[in-house]
Amino acid sequence: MNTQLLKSDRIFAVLWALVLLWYGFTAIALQVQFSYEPVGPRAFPLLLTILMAICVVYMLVKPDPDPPWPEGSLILKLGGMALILALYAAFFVDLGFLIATAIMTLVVARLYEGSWVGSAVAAVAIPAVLHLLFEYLLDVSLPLGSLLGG
Amino acid sequence: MEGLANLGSGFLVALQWGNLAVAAFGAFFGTIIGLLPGLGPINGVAVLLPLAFAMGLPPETALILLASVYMGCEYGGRISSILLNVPGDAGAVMTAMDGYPMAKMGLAGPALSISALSSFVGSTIAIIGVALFAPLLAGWALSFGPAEYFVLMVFAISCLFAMVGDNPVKTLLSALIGLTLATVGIDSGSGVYRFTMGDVHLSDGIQFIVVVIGLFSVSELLLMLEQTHTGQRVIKVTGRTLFNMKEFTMTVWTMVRSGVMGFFIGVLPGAGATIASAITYMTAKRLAGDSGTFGQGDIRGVAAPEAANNASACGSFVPMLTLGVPGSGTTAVMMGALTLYNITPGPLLFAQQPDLVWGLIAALFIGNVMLLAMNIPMIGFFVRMLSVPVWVLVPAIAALSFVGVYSVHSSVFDLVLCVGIGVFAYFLRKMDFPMAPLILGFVLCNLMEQNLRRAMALSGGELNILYSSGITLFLWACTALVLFAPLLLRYMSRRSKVAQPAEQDLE
Repeated sequence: MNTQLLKSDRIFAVLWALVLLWYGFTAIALQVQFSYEPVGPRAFPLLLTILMAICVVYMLVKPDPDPPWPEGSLILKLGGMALILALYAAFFVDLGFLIATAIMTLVVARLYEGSWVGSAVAAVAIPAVLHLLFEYLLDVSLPLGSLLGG
Repeated sequence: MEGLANLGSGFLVALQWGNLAVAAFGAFFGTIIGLLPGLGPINGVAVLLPLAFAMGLPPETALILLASVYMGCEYGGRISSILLNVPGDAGAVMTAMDGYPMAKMGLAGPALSISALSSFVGSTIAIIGVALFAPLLAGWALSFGPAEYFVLMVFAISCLFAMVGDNPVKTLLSALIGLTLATVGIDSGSGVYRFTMGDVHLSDGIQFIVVVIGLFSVSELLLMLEQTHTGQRVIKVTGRTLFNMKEFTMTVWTMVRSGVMGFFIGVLPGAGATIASAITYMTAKRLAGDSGTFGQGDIRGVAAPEAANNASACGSFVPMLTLGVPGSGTTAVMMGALTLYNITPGPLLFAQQPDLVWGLIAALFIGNVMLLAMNIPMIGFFVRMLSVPVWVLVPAIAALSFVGVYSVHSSVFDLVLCVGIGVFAYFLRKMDFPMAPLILGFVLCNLMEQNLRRAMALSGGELNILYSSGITLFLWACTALVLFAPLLLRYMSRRSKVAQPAEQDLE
């Protein structure tokens, strides 16, 4: 019975309640210099806050059974994937599309259980094909990166 | 007839070479996205939308691209249902019930070809429906004022509330989270910055494309990591590839009936391809009675859901084009695409942008014919796409998504935010929060708030403008109906279930 108190729905509800606190107070604090209309910028966010607060209370009182959360090495893999995507995003411009995509492809392909050879081939082919496609065929410009003289 | 003349000028738009090429590409790409398990129309449209925008395609061409991807996905979903017993997208779940048994009996060819034909018949019926009904609905909606619009959007969100998922509270919260995300940024009514935490990058609000790619691409990639591969084998297509006359006559009425039903279900906001195919499958099964072998490879069980999911996909264009309220998650993304071009979908669209609307309807016709032409002879090629390994697919989708997000604003902040939203969406999706209401809320937020404020300004702050006209009262009544009818039904069925054992106890 003790373990049932900490359900993922309840954890989510508490976290979202904190977001709501911030959101609600920020909405109340909004200041308008001149107002031509009866309903200002505050009302709609406050309406949302109240409705969400009701949902949050409901989730605290009647949480769903927990979904099958990933376990063991899968957590590491998921965390790794999220981290790679975040790094890919952060260095997309600095490294340039070609290099950033090649590194991302190599790591991600390995993560999704591709062989070393296959992943290496993908890491060369995917950035090259997309680069040609976007730069020359579709006329979408991609970041070159500082290493390649961008 | 005015409608026919309009449709004629629409064909002139759709038959331009550029638009034809885009439709063919979209249909082809859509079929592939549709057949890959885990990826559905919303993922395909999400990835292509920013690219279409970055390539500087004119709005009607961009819309034709997205619409043909959407239709292509509904065609493609059936292929993996039949050959793998894994639905390629949500609308194709029911197709696997009889399609996979047929494939196991060596009838994969007829199952694939009859389902392609059903998709074609369903789409054709629905496109005719769109051409007939959309202008009528748009004409009626012209009399809508701000108050009517606000109530209409409440109705649209309530429809989702009633029909999506088993957990109405999570559906509602999902829509509210979408609305909340959209309130970030400068408030167009007063010029005040809201919830930006003083960050310049957020002063323009969270970009639509960032949310779409985060929700439907990044989170999808994370979920794909979890799907354990059961090592299912793709069934080889052997024997005859085309259905015969007997199979055709057996299914033709099923197709027509399911197409008509699918269209009307698709028009309702919230009820999409999944519901349409389930309802028509059940109807076909009931009508067949003892003569059917449903569940063991009845060909009507393949025809019904396929006609219905295509018809409902086309039908869901109606509320988007006429009312500016999308009928499905995918059309919500398309509506967001239009707003990127500063086009507000709604009743005025038919009067102000006839080329866009009728061009789109004509392009649906053409794309549909292309899809039928592709899907019967090229089936071997599409089947081979099923064996593309996940480890190639995932980095390719990630790169495409990032190019899309980057190409719109060239901002690293957007990319990082997109990954953040994707991780957040992963947790939401694990906890059974439906994503369609979230994107619907995000798209509708601005319209909803502005219409509410405009209505209040008109009435001088009196709330009763929201329920004083006939149309608003009608829409409130509809809202109450969709909200409380399912609750009432559930309560009644629970009571009868509880009552029965109680009676037995008495005996």
